Amino acid sequence: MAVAQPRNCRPLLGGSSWWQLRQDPILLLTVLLVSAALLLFIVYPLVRVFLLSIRPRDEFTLDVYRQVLDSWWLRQSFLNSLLLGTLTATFSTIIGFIFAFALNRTDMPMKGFFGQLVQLPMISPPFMFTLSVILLLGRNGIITKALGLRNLDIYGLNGLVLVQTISMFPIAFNTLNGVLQAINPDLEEGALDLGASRWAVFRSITLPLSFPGLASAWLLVFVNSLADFANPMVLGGTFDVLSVQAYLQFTGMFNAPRGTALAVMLLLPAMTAFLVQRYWVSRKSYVTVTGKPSSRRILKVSPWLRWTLFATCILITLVIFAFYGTVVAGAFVKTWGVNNTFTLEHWRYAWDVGLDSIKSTLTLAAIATPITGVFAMVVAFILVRKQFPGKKVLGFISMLAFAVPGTVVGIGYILAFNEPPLLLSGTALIIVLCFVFREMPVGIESGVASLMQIDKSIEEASTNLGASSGYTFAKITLPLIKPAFLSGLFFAFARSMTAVSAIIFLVSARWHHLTVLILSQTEIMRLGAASVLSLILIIIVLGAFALMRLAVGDTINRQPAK
Amino acid sequence: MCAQKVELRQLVKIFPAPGGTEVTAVDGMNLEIKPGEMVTFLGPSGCGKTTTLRMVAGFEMPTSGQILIGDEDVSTKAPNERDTAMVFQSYALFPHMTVEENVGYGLRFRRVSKKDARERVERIMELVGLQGLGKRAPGQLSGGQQQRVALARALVVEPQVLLFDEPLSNLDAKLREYMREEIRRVQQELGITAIYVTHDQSEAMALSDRIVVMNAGRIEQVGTPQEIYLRPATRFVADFIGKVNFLPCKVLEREGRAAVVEAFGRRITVHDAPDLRGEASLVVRPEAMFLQKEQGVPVKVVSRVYLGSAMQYRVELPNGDQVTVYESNPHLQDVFSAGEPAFLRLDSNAVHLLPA
Repeated sequence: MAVAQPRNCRPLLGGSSWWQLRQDPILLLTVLLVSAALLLFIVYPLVRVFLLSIRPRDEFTLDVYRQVLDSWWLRQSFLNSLLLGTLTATFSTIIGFIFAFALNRTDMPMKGFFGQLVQLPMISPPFMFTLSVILLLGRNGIITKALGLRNLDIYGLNGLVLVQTISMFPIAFNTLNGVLQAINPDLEEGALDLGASRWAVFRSITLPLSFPGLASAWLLVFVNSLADFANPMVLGGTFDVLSVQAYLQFTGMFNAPRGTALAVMLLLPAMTAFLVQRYWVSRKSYVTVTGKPSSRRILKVSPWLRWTLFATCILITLVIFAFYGTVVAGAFVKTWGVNNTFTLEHWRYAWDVGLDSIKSTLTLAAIATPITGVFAMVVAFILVRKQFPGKKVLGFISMLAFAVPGTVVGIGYILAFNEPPLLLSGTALIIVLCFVFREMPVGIESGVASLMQIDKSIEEASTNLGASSGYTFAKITLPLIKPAFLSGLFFAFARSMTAVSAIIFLVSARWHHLTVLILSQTEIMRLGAASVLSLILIIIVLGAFALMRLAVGDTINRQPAK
Repeated sequence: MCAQKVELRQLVKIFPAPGGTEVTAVDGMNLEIKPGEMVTFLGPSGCGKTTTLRMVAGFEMPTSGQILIGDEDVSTKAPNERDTAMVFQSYALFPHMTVEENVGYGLRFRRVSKKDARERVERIMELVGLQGLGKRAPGQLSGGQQQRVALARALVVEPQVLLFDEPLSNLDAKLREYMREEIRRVQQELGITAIYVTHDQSEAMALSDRIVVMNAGRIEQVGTPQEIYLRPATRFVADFIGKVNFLPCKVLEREGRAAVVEAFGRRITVHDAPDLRGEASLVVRPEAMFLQKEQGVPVKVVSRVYLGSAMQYRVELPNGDQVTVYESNPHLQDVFSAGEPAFLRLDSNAVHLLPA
C-alpha cells in the first residue's frame, strides 16, 4: 500500500472545495472559464434587457412599465400569453399522459412505433404545424373548402392551442414517460394483491405517484408555450401575445425600452414556472428517475381501456401525419386550394431564394454543434464530479436557457453585443454563441444523467494509476458518456437548425437562417415555397438523426457483452 | 383468520424468450401445503421459485395446471380477487402514504368499518413492533422498520395465504437474523399459511416447517429442515444445502433399512439408506468427521483455516481424494498443522448414501 499522498489529506470540515480548486489548476481554470462564459453570454444580456426597461434614458424610472400597463392591448397580450400557456399546457399534459400510460402500462400493439413518432414534433421546425394548419384550415384550406366552413377562423387562440399542443405534447410525454417507467411495478402489484381493483390501483397509487410528474410536465409546456414566437407570429391573427409584441415593439416600432419591458414581463411567468418546476415540484417527487428502468412488468388493463387508449394514440398519430403530409403536398401544388395541379415551381423558387440561407444555416449549426456538445459535457462533468465554491449558482445559470424565452435572449444579445469591444451584431459569431448557450442545457442534462450512472471509482482508478484529471476526462469519462454526448450533439444541431425566436433578432444579410426565411415566406403567403423549405429542413434534421442513431448504435455494439 | 391449505397441481409456466424460443420456468410442480404451515421455496436464482410464488399471487397466469387455495381453484383469478398478501423484496411501500395508510390500504377493499380498520391497524402495528410510527412517511423509517410495515400491511388483511418474496435480502446480516425470527414468531402466533421464497439456506432452515428445494423449474425435494439437511434426496440438494463431501463407495450388503458400504478400505453402516447396489456416493458433512492423533483412517492435513467457531481442514485420504473437515470449538493447543499426519474418524449416524 502506498503512503497516503498529501492530496488525500482533506480537511475534515469545510474548505474542502477551495482546497480542491487550489490543488487542481486545470479544474480552477475550467471553472473560471465556464463561469466567465456563462456570465457574459447568459446573465449579462439579461441584465442589459432589464436595465434598459428601467432606465430608458439616463435616469431610473418605471415609466415604461406604467405605459405598458396603461395600454389595454399590451395588458391583454400578457393575459393572452398566460391563457394560451395554460390551455396548451393542460391539453399537452393530458395527451402526453395518455401516450405515456399507454406505452408503459398496457400491452397495446405498435408501442415502438408510437414511441418513435412522439419524438417527431421535437425535431421539426417549430411552426411547421402552423403552416399545415393554414393549408388545411386556413381561408384556402382544403378542409375549409371541402366542408364549406365559412365561419371557421383558425387564426387566433383555437389555432394556436391546436398547433402548440401537437408540437409540445412530446415534452410532456418525455417527462411522464420517465416518471411512469420509474414507478416500481411492485407498488402497483402490491396494491392489487391487497385487493384493490385496477381502477383503485390507478386512482390510489399510479395517479398520486405521477402527480409531481404531471405538474412538472405542465409547467415545462407552459414555459415553452410562453416562449413560442413563430406560431403566434403567423397564426396569432388578432390574438396578441407577449413574445410577438416584444419583437414588434423592439424591431418594428423601434421602441426598444418598451420591447425590453415586455420581454421582462414575459420572463417573469416563464421564470416562475421554471423555478417552481425545478425547485419545488421535483423535490416533491416520489420517484427518482435513475435511468435504470425497473423490470417492465405490465399489469393487464381491461381490453376496453386498452383499445380506447390505442384509438386515442392512433388519432393523434393521424393528425401528426396529416400535418406532415400536408406540407409535403403543399410543396408540389401550384396554388394551394385554388389550382391544385402538380408543379416543381416552388422548388425552383425556393432554391433561388433559399440556397444561401440553407448554406449559412448549415454552416452556423455545424460550427455551433461540436462546441455546444463539448462545452455541455465539460459543464456536466464539473457539476457532477467536482467540488468548488459557487457550484450551485453555476448549475443554475447553465440551466437558465430552459427558462428564458428566445425573444428575451434575442433582445439581450442585440443590446449587449452591439458596441466595442463586444461588437458582434451582424457576425456569424453572435449567432453561433446564441446557439451554444441556448442549446447547451439539453446536453448538460443528459451528460449529468449519464455521469450519475458511472461509478466514480472508475475515474478514481484512472487518477490512482497516475493520469491527470484532464487525461482522465478525455480518455475515460468522455468515451463512457459517448451516447449522451452524441444525442446532446444531435439535439444541439436539430435545435440550432430549427431555432427562430432569438435568431430572428440576430440574422443579417450575410448570415441568414432558414427558419427566418420560412417565416417570412409564410407571412407573405408564399405557402408553397414555405412548404418546400420546411421539407428541406426536416430532411436535413432527420438525416442528422439517422447519423446519430448509427453512431450511438455503433458505440453500444462495441461495448463488450456482459 | 382461518388458515387454508394451498395446493399446486401439475403447475407449468412457460415464458416466451427473445428469438421466438421458450423458457420453462416451472415444470410440472405438485405440492400440498397444510393449513397454518410455513413452507419455503429454496433454490438458486432462476429455479422457478419466484415465478411459482407470483403464480400463487396471481401476477403470472400458469401455462397449465391448477392452484387451489382451500378447496377453491384460483388459477385464473385476478390478484385482487385472491385472498393472498405478499411481502415484497423491495417492500413496495407506497411513498405518498403514511405508515398507517400503508398498513390500512388493503382494508379499504374489504368490508371493514373505519373504526374496525383503525383498531386492526393498531393491533397489527403493535404485533410487529411499530407503535408510535403511524404518522411517519415510509422514507423516514430504517430498513428494518420498513420491513415491518411491509409485513404489517400484508398481515392486517388476514389473508388466507401470506407470501414472502425474499423479504430480508435488503437488510444487513444481524437484522436479517432478527427479522426472520420475528416473521416466524408472528406467523406462528397467527397460525397463518405462508409461502416464503429465498435463496438463503440458513433462512430457509430457521423459518420453515418444510422446505421445497427447487432446481430448473422442478422440485428436488420436499421435507423438514432436518430431512433436507441429513437425508438429501439428490446430489443437488446435498450440495446446495451447506458444505458436503461426496466419497466414492461400494455397497456391500443391506441390513434391513441400513446399508453396509466400503469406503477407503473401511466398512461403514449407513442407517436409513436408499436401496442402492454397487458403486455409490457417501454423503458426509464436514462436521460429521473428526481428526485425531490415533485410530482411524490415516490422512494428511493439506491446509487449515481458522473460522473462529470452527477449524476448517482440508485433508487427503489414502486414495488421494481430498475432503473438508470441521472441528468445532477448536482448542488451539491440539490443532493440526498443514503437512501433519492425522487420523480421520466418521460419525456413521450422520452419513447418507446417494447414487454415484
